Amino acid sequence: MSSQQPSSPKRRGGFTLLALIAIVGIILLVVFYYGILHPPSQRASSGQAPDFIVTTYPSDPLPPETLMPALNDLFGSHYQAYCVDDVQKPRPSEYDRVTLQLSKLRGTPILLNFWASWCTTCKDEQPLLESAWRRYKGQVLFIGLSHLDQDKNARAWLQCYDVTYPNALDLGGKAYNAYRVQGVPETYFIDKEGNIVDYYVGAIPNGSILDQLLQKLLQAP
Amino acid sequence: MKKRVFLLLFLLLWLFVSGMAFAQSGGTDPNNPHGLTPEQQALAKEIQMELWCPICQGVRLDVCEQKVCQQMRDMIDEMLLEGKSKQEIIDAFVVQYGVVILGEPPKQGFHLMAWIMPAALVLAGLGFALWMSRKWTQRAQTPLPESPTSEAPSPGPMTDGVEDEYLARVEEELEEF
Repeated sequence: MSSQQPSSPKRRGGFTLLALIAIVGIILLVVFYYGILHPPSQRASSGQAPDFIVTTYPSDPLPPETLMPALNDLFGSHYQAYCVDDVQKPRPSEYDRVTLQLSKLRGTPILLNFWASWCTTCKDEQPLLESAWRRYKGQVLFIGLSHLDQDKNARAWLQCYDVTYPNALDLGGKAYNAYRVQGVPETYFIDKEGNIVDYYVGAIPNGSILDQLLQKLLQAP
Repeated sequence: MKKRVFLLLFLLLWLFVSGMAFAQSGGTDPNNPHGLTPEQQALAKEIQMELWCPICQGVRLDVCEQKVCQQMRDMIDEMLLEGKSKQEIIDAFVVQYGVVILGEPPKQGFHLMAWIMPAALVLAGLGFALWMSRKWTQRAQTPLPESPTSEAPSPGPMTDGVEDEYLARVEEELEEF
């Protein structure tokens, strides 16, 4: 029979093509199943927290001609209802234009909050965070990353609430994407070894919940 | 007479209400709050139509009603007033907000794959279809080998040339396997 004959170049070409199609098919299957097992929306919820590097906002207040229209735009003409009395007070210079890299902050538990000046629910959460920072300073480092934000709006926000912990722009949404955050506000609790202990989606509703989360962070081994 | 008084009162009321609205808006045109020139306004609109809401699904910046979009539109106006060009503004947005605001992957680096792959796959598919069709055409045109069955035809309607042709092809297919 012809099975004894040496295979022709035409047949070899056909087999090569079939093999190529099979390889491409297998690769596509692998990609497909990887996509199913690792959906892109799955947020970083445990394990090592993704690293990021940011530069904090300046601590000096915006000039009044920039600050006031920005406050009006963010909070309306009744911005006093949200803001501290002296919105033009300089914030502590401790974190003025400081470069922060998460991986270089090992040894300190961290609260990482994603927020934005255009975010409505962030308005309820911000005073709670600032109040907790003043109580936990020295035990936990709070870091705020503003998402899809602009310098003048974010700085007006920080002036309004007299935020004293370090805050920075998450340039290009790099940290937001690395943590796979699904919206602002969202808060991560990272232990001193750099592991995510817990996270909270949405605005933390009250001080006692925030305290519980912070206590859990402090008790993490 | 009564009609005229009523009309005058209505006109005065309209002037009062629109004056209040104008004063509340800070004396600026709500459609042009930054006082752009008509050319700048046209360019701002053009840029808005090329950018997308970063927190919505498929909503262009010019029609987006989110606060973040309003801030972005303000930023475009302010940058135009600073004398920045369209490309400079778009580049600044990409740096600050990420490529998501382009609504499409940028034509550089790894993102280029998203542009190349569909075209490459279509071309590969067309190439494969062409190759297969040529192979089939060649096979159809190749003279059929002498079949042993044709030497000893069996009686009946299945002994004609058509049957031989099919048998020869079946044999050829079997050989290939």
